[in-house]
Amino acid sequence: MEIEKNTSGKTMTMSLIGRIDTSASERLKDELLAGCETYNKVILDLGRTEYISSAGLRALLTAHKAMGRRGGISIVNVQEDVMEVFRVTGFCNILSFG
Amino acid sequence: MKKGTSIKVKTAITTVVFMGILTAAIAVIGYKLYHDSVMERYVDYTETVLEYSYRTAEKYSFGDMIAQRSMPEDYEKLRADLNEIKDSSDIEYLYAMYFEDTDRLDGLCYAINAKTREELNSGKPLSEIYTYMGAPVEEGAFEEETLEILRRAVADGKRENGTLEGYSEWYGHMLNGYRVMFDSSGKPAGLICVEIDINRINSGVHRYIRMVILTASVLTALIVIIYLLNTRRYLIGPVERIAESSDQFVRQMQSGTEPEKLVFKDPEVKSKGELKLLADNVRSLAEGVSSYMINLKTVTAERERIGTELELARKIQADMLPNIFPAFPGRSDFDIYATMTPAKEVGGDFYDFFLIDDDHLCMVMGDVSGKGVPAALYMMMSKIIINNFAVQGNSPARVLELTNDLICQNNDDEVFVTLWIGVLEMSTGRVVSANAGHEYPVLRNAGGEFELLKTRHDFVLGGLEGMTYQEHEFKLEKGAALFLYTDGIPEAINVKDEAFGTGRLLEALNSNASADPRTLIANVKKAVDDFVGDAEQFDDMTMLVMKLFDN
Repeated sequence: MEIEKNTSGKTMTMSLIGRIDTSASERLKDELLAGCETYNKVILDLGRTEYISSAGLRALLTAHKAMGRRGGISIVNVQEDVMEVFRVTGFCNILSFG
Repeated sequence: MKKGTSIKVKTAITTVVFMGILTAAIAVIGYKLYHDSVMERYVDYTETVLEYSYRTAEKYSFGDMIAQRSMPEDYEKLRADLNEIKDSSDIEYLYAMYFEDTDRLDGLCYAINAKTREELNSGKPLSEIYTYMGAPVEEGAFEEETLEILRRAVADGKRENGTLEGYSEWYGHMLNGYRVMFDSSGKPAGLICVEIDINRINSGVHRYIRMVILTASVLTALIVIIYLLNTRRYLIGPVERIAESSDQFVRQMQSGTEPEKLVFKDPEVKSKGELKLLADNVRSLAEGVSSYMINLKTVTAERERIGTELELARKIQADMLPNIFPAFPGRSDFDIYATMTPAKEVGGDFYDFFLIDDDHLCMVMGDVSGKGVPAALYMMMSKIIINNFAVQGNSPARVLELTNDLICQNNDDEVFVTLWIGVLEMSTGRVVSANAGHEYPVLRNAGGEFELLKTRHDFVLGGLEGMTYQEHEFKLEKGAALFLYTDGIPEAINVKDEAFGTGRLLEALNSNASADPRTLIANVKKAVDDFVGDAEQFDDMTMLVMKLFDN
């Protein structure tokens, strides 16, 4: 999985490219937590994300909780397969989709 | 010990061969030099005597005597002088010859023949001892080549001393010095000759060679011995000992000796340098191998112990899920069957079913995130908690709320659990269910096909505290069947990285939709196994089927 970062002011946009499997989710969690510390708003672009595993979901949840007070993480451009996972696991009720 | 020719023998042979070659070279070179040098001396000597004899002969005008074939008064005086010369020199023969016809090789005659006192006193009459002017030279006294040289000398009037090495059957190896004698008119008349026996040279040379060879052999033997002793001590010995020690060690290893008992015998190499380095390094290697093997033994034992423990844990886990079938032999209104196959020895999937009371059956299907021991521990905990809250009579949604808060409490690892729970009221066929992020159940009503029951999904358990859950109600007719599973089924992948998917799951169920629970599960399992082929099982796979009967 590749991560592309773009910043503008206090906002960081992270594009996740490829599959977020078990080995990639550790890296994702670290990147997200680092981003959450530095920026006020974090946007996750999942336009090129093919798949997310439960470890990936865990990473999102950790970051979401860390970001909690400031508004959480915003998710954009979710592909259908990944959206289905969010739906089935109930994550779609927790995360904000922009 | 199959070593081939030992290093000791090889060294000895090489040394002997080398010394042998050296000796031969010395002998040959020495022989040549000695021979040539000795010959030179002999030649000098011959020429000296020849010169002296020539002067003496000239004094008496011997050339004329020969030319006239006469033996006047002076002939005997000349002979007496020549005898004295022969007496005082170490020569074989002193004589003079002439060719009757200088153009022909035959017709060679003696002119004079000197004799020593000893020869004269031999008791024979003088006429037999001496050869006189005109006596023909015997056939075969000289080789033809020699005769030719002598003839040419006379014919050409050669003025200097000449020397020849000659060999004849009669006389053997001779060194022949010759000088042409001229008469008063300056015409060449004949030759005066001095001969020395050079067979003596040969014996002298042979003695020399024998000395050389003997000395060389003794020296060679001495050198070989000293060299061998030396290399044995500093080279061969240590090498043999290192070879021996390492050989013994390897044999011990190969014959399966306990690593703690492996012994490397110290080759005791005292000298510094490469051999000591080699010995030390081989010993280090041996010690390294020993400790590695001991370590490996420990690690393997530990791993076996863990394997055994995991196997025990797997048993405990498997036994904790209701696995006795038929589960409710007394009941004829429904049947239930379930399996759980962990990806590793222990897993995070679980199912549960139990009667809350005579009319209410509770079914649970859950999946802890992750695999292996951590997931297994949470699995045990979750199953017990849910069972606990459910038999107390809580509604499905309430069970999830209570369970969620409990799991969130000590959840530093952020483990979450997906769960489906349903309570069936058997008298009415009504099912009340709640879903915490778990797969859609599959439902078949009598006479129909299996379809996904797309109900609302709430958030997973263990994610956030204080979550609320919604309930969903549906009805099961008689003959209906409910199929529950975890994501290990649709997410099973084959070697081409393709997922099994819910589509194939429905296909497998519908291939024999009215079958009993056990057969339905077997069909799905077979479909998954066939699909996955040789790929490794990636996630735990769990299935449960409950079927209401038509009575």
